[in-house]
Amino acid sequence: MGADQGMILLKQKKGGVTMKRMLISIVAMIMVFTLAACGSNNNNNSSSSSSPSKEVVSEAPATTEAATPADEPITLKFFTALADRANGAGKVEQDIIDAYTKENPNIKIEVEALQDEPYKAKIKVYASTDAIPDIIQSWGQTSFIKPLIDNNMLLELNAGDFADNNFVPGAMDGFMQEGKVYGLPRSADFLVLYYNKKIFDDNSLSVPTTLPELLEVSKKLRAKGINPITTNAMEGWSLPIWFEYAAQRENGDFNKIDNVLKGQGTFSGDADFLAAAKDLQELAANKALADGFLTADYGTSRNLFGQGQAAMFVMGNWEAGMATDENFPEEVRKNIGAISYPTSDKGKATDVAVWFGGGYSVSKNSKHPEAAIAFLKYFFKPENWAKQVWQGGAGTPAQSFTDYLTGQESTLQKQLVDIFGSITSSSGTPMHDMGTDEFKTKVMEAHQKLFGKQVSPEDFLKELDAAVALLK
Amino acid sequence: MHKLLSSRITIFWLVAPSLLLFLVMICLPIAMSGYYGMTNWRGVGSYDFIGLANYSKILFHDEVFWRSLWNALLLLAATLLIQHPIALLFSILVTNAGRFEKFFRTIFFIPAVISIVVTSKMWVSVFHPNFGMLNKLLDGVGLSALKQDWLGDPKLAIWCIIVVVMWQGFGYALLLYYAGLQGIPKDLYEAAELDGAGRVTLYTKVVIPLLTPMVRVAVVIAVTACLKQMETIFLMTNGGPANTTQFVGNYIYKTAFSSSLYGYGNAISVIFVIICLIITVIMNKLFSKDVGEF
Repeated sequence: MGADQGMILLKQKKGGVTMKRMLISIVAMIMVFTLAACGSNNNNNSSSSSSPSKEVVSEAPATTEAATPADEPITLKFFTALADRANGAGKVEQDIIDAYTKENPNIKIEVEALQDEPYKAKIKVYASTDAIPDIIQSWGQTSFIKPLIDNNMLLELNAGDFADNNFVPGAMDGFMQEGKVYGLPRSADFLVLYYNKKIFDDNSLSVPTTLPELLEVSKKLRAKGINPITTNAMEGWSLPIWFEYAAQRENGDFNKIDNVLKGQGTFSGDADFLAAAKDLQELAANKALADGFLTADYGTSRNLFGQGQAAMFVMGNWEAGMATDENFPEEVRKNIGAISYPTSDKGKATDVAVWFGGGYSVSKNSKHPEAAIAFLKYFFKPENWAKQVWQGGAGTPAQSFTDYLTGQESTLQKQLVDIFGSITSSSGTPMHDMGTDEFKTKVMEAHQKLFGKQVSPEDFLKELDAAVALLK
Repeated sequence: MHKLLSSRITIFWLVAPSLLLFLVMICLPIAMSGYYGMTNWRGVGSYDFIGLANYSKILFHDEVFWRSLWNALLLLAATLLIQHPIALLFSILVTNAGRFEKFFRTIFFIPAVISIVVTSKMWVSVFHPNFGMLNKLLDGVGLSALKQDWLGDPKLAIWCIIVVVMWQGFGYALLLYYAGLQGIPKDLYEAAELDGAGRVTLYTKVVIPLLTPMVRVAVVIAVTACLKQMETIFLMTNGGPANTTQFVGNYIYKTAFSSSLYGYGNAISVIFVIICLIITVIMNKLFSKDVGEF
């Protein structure tokens, strides 16, 4: 009996110790996990506050009279690639947002803005965690929008809702898949040749209008120690569009590149494509491109032109604001002009590489889709975006804007609107944006090598074909 | 207290947080990278399991990857053979600079204090073919023939990058050797002088051998820095022209985030981790020899 009792006591004691140990263990575990959780929270906070994205919260002063009890407060997340909120298109965007939240005090719009490349990287992070913000900037280009549509992440929009917004015919095409609309275009973009008239006048040269003249003028400028043409070859996206021009000027048809991408024919073996590649390489071989252009990013190349160090600048129409940019010396600002790419006997100045650039889409997961669409309707009212972006000289809207011509436009703006108004054939979406991101990288690298004279025109076309093969 | 600390369970729970963090933050991501490396994931949406296809493509067909690795080795060689001897020499000079010691110490360390973004962008401007200081300087001294498109020329660009990275890291290397020199007892110098050793003998036979522990630290830091190199490249050339200045870190970033080949990017990072482990093992073997006490 006594022994038994002793055993039981012992067992109890043992049990007590195990209990105690278990308790300690559990407490320790809880501490570890709460500590870890706190740590990760802190990390989140610090990373969001130190990240370079600019978070601007637009909130109207809460006027109790204006807000009826029925208006539940709604917060919309707005993710855009117009990172500069104080100038150009980004300012117009922010102004419209501010005006909207003022009119609708119950709506709060949280803006997150990043530059193009970081934007595209972050949208993938959002997509992979299924956390796409309510309204996002999207591009009506396969490389960007197709994966999002295919994975059911974008809300289908009703084109009828936006019938009053005067979109230019065909502007929504890039945002459509199987007849459904997934986005609204913001602007029409086209590539032009900007020139600095003063440099041409000072050296008694005339602005080139044909391809042979372009080469000739470039040689003469180079002989005088002036950089002829600059562009942002480090990022590389202007080069494939330039090649589209070069190819059109050889074969007279922008569609031929699109056909090759669809699998009809190849780049190599086509005499016109080869001639186009040779034209470009001849420019490069004659040093028509600014010194160091391959490592010049957007800002550097724009600056080179704006500071009067290069005579021409191959860039999109959205740079109309250069004519009023106070950072550039007045003698340059006042003398900037723009022409369509120089012509040949097959390609005219009215054949323009034009496409619809950025726009907006609504997330399928949005908690307030109606509010998001209501905002887009407001945004695209002709007197909002179309008028303000045009009059601000920040680009060419994808909506009809002839009502808003003021007559006060700079000469540069008038030249650009003339080019835009005279278009007879257009290139559509730039070739590098018509596939996956991998395709895009390969195409841009092939162009960088062509302009950098690291491949022959023949090999360049082979590299393009290899890139196209990735699409199948 | 001693009893508590000697308990295995206590020790286990004290180690657990950091062990857990290590597992969750380092081992788990690597394992997941290994898995994603076997898929054709493009960042958005579904993906297929494709086995070792990515890995074999990297090892046998990816020229850019090998070029990136080669560039890292080139940078490492330059760091060890050029930067470190100069840093050692300068640290000896600084130690003997008398009243200018503090002054020089500060001057040489300045590049290491300034943000990499600032110094990288500064060097981009220095190398700029038109308004860059380097070409202007060559013009000024009548050597216009030597003017180059420094960062745009595929043959030159990598060397320009190497110079910049060495310049950025010079301060740290100098500081390490300087600290090492401070740690050598003064009586050793006196003893050597009494034994009739000249300046050169003093340094080559006594001081530098005693610096070996510091050399090890410096070499390890140099190896990791060279392999990890990313920010200077990203800011200066982004690997261009035509990937001639590509480094593995930047290449992984470009593959995953610009080309959206997340599966492939993960595979590169896993292979890179393995290469780094191999290098670490080799370094440990080389450094296992002991220097002895002093």
